Amino acid sequence: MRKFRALVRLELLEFFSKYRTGLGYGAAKRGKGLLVFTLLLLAVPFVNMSVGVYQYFLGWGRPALGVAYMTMVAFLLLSFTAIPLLFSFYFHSRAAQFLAPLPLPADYLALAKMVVVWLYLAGINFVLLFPVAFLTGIKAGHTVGALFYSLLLCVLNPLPPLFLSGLAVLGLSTRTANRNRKSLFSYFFAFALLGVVLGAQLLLTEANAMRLVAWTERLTGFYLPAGWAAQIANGSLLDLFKYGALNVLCWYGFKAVARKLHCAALVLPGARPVRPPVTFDFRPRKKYWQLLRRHLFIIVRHPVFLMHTILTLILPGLVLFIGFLSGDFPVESLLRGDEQERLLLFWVGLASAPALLANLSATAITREGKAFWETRVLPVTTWMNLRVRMATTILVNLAFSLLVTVVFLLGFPLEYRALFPGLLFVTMLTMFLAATDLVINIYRPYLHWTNPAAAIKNNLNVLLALAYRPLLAVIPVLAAVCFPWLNLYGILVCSGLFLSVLTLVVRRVLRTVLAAKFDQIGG
Amino acid sequence: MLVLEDVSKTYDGKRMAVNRLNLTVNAGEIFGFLGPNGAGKTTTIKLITGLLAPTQGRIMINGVDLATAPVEAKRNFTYVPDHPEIFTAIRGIDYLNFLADMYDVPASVRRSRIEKYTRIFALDGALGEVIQSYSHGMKQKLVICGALLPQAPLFILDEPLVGLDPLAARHLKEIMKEHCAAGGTVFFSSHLLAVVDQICDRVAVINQGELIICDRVERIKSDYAQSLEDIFLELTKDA
Ligand SMILES: Nc1ncnc2c1ncn2[C@@H]1O[C@H](COP(=O)(O)OP(=O)(O)OP(=O)(O)O)[C@@H](O)[C@H]1O
Ligand SMILES: [Mg+2]
Repeated sequence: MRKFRALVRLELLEFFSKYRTGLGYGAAKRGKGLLVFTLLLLAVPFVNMSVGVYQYFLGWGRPALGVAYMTMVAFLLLSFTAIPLLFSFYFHSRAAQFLAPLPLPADYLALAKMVVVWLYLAGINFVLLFPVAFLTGIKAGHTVGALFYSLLLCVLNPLPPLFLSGLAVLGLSTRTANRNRKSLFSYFFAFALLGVVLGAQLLLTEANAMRLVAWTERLTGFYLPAGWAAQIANGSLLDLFKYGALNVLCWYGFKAVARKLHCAALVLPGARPVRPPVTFDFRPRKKYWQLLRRHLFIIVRHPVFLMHTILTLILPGLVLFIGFLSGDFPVESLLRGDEQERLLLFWVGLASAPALLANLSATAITREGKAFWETRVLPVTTWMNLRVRMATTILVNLAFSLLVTVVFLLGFPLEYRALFPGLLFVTMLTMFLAATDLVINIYRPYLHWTNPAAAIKNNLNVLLALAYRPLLAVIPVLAAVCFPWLNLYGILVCSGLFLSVLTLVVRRVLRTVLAAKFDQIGG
Repeated sequence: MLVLEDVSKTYDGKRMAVNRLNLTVNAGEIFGFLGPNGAGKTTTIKLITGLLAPTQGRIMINGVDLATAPVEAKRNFTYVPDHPEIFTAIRGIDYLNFLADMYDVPASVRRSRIEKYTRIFALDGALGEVIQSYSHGMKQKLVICGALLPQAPLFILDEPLVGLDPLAARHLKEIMKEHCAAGGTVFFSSHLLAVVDQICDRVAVINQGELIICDRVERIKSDYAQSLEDIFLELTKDA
């Protein structure tokens, strides 16, 4: 048992170190306070949602049903959290390399990871389910009992979803031997998670109430633990017993799954198929082009990077499309074409979205990871090395902006004289952001990642890059204030020119001051 | 060919990983760089290749100062690191073509050189496959092939023989000798004293970042009248 506890501690440490590096805090001392702060910050909306659910269902006179609803939301949320975590724990473990050969029972190794995931899920339950259950218990007239039952609920709740997620991960992992493909799955689930959180919030409208109450009742019939949870919050011992029994069953299932997962992670991918000999192309290419190709390949050939890039590129279009369908956006007036200025703004917004959201430069160095040294020893100037990284971002973003433009022009009657100001603005914005984001990455390179999702997804660089973007609104506003006689076209041209000056300045700084800083990275 | 003048490096501002190192490697020699684990070999090599900037001192490669003319200096060497961590989502051939372009290997000799080196290291069959599917040793061989391709004057290797099979190790040793016979220079770190004894013209031993000895192999052996292994152990016993 002592060994097992030590293992759990080790896995916990790895988990938190991954969490911290994932957020970009590194190993610095002050990281600890920041970490706690971030966790608290993350908890607030969930607690808020839980209390909201209580009030909502209380308003309909069914507070216990709120517990059932939240149990089901928690079920989805926990599953979608657990799946990427299990992938990360079993297939991207840094410790596995040295733990596997130690004389420890395989069960210990397998279960220690599960215990950490379970602890994490219990923590989520504490912010998600505890408030609604506790409030419901108080409402039903218990006080100490409410606390006791709600806490027990948080302990009992994670096991069924954890067991099912384990099964899912096992199924998914036997389908693909490729580790990258696996992290792609976890990526998908991270997005699904976002969907559940947003969906669960959006469902709670007044108009929806009757349907939601009915559906919650019906679904409770399918997912029995939801009903039990509601009764436990009301103080039912019988249901507590039922849920406890289910947990015991799940525990055995989950032990078996953990063992299987542990073994699956140790198995190497299958043999390579034999290919017929191919003839190769030995033609020389320009250095600049070769480097650009390398950086493009880093994005395109990494399933996770590719997925992330495509998703961030298409997300705004998707939101808009849904907006059109739901009637939130006044599409008719735009289609008539008599409001050219609004149409222009609309298009510029859409075409700028890739530059604003897909901040590829912010991870241009990070993405290379441990292969970063390669271009550093080559006989190319540091400036070319930096220039190519920006060019990669610009190429991807502008290509997508142009695609958006073509689609837009097919659908909407935008005047052709709007094209030049709009394209000038979008191009300069893209070039400017490609340069400034790279500054962030030079200051915050993070090369020692093992899981590619950590390199690009919850990297603090990406958040920083997003954080300063709203400030850019100052530029067109300034143009409008300084030159009040300008119309929208003039403002766009003016902002575009101003951005190009700024771009030149930032690139100048990159070339002189920051190139030296870049040369100090890694090694 | 390679001159280190008073080169120091500290990672944390306190402990010197490399301390006032002075070294001269002459053109045409195979130079062995020895030292116990953590002595500062990899750090020195990273300084020479420009992956790290020295805290103090000057590094000249083929008469060019690495700090003031990095591109010119880097044209004069190729480097094989201790861990072959390269971008692996491309095919072996793409990697070699990439390096050939970076070092301006002329089109006329590119194909023959790639074929020659990959055949020597038995990689020719795997060139069409993505590097991800290579074994550790195959990756290492690929990086070595890439470093041989430009035939740069100076060839820098960090523990190149670790992980190679005996045949590949033999070939690499021959290639090092050939390279020197043709006027090139080899600088490599190693823990394999037998190999060092066998192929090196001169060796340097460092311990805790400081140079302990730097001389011709025969001279060291005749001075101490011992095997290289005994000498090494005695020198690095603890300063
Ligand atoms: N990135 C780093 N950050 C801080 N200290 C480092 C770093 N890399 C190396 N060191 C320290 O510098 C010293 C020299 O390390 P180096 O890697 O050069 O040794 P080495 O001679 O190559 O050893 P080995 O034979 O094990 O490869 C060691 O004490 C090591 O702890
Ligand atoms: Mg070393």
